Amino acid sequence: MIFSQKKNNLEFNKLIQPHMVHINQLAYRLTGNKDDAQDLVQDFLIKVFPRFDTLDQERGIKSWLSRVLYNTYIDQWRKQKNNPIQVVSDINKYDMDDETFFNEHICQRFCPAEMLNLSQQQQILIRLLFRLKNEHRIVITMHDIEGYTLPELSEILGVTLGTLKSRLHRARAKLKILIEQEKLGEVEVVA
Amino acid sequence: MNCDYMTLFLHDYVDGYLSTEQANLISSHIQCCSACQEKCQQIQAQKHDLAQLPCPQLTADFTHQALKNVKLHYADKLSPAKKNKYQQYYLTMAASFVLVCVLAFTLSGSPTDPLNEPVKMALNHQEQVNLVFNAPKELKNVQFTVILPAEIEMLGHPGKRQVIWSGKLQAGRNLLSIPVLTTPTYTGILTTKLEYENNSKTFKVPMKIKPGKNVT
Repeated sequence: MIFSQKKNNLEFNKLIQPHMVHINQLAYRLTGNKDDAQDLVQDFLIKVFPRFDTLDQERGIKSWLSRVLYNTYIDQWRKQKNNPIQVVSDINKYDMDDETFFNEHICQRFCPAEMLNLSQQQQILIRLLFRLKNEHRIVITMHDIEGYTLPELSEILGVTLGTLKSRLHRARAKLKILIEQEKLGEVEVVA
Repeated sequence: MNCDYMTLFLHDYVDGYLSTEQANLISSHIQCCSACQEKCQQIQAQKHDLAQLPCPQLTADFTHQALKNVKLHYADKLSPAKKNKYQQYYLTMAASFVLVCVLAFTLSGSPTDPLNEPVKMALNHQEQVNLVFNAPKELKNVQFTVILPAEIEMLGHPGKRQVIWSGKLQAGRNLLSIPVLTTPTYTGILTTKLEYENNSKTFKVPMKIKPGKNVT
């Protein structure tokens, strides 16, 4: 592993510390639970450490860190999703080939203690978010919840602005449908 | 202005991506069109609800420990003592591999290891085997090993008699759902081994596959 000797551990800590709140928060938003968020942050830090001195801080450290975190998350997500066998807590409920199954499985791992401070409406909203396709959930999470702009997201996710815009609109429309179905009692929300 | 045309720009209007001129056009249309006004309010309300979702913060202790782990991770990688240890390990592995190859050629007439014997049967019937594990607590870093009888192979792992992977178990009931290819009417034993926290448990599950039904 090659990295500048000038950048010692203390310097790394000093540079990364101010961004840890944002990184932790984004990790939690992406994974949906504390355990996976912690695993993600740990993998992210290991990935970032040797590359940190190559970072051109003029280009925007927040976007760069978000991009590394997102790529780390996608790597983990694909690895888990491609695992031939998924461990789930509810039997015969889902189609194993369905991406929604996988996301909902993650959603079930929400720590109840973390849910205590959420209103019922917010709990439902989070669960419905996890019913969306991963790419839809991510664009809504990062744009509408975390407040990234579309040009920022285009850089972080590596997707063209036009594609991202239509993806966001489709994602919102699908979430709206799920919310309406929920109001009509058509969507069963796993307790 | 046409409402269908307007709808195309409502999201951009709410997100503030339009120029002042475009935004003014939309704004004046919304004021006199109740349908577009309602759509706009719905988008705004949904966006507002999402923005209000709270997010628990990971603790300062975790951040401190995570940064410490990074140092340990790279200290391990760079340590000459570790490097020597890995070199020795790889040399031992290489020597073992050579030895195994020599033995395989020497003993070519003897029966093969049943675990490495390739599946030769025509397996064209797909089934889902469900195994339920009751974990007393959440278990991280569980190693799962599934040993497959000759008449079964795991989907995506052709010819393999043993599949190993790592994962987690939640507290309570967990389901392992294994997609398999088999003969339409198989009866036999499926062995699953779970290794966690220096413990090892082996489950031998009698199976009877009936066409069109899951096996639990």
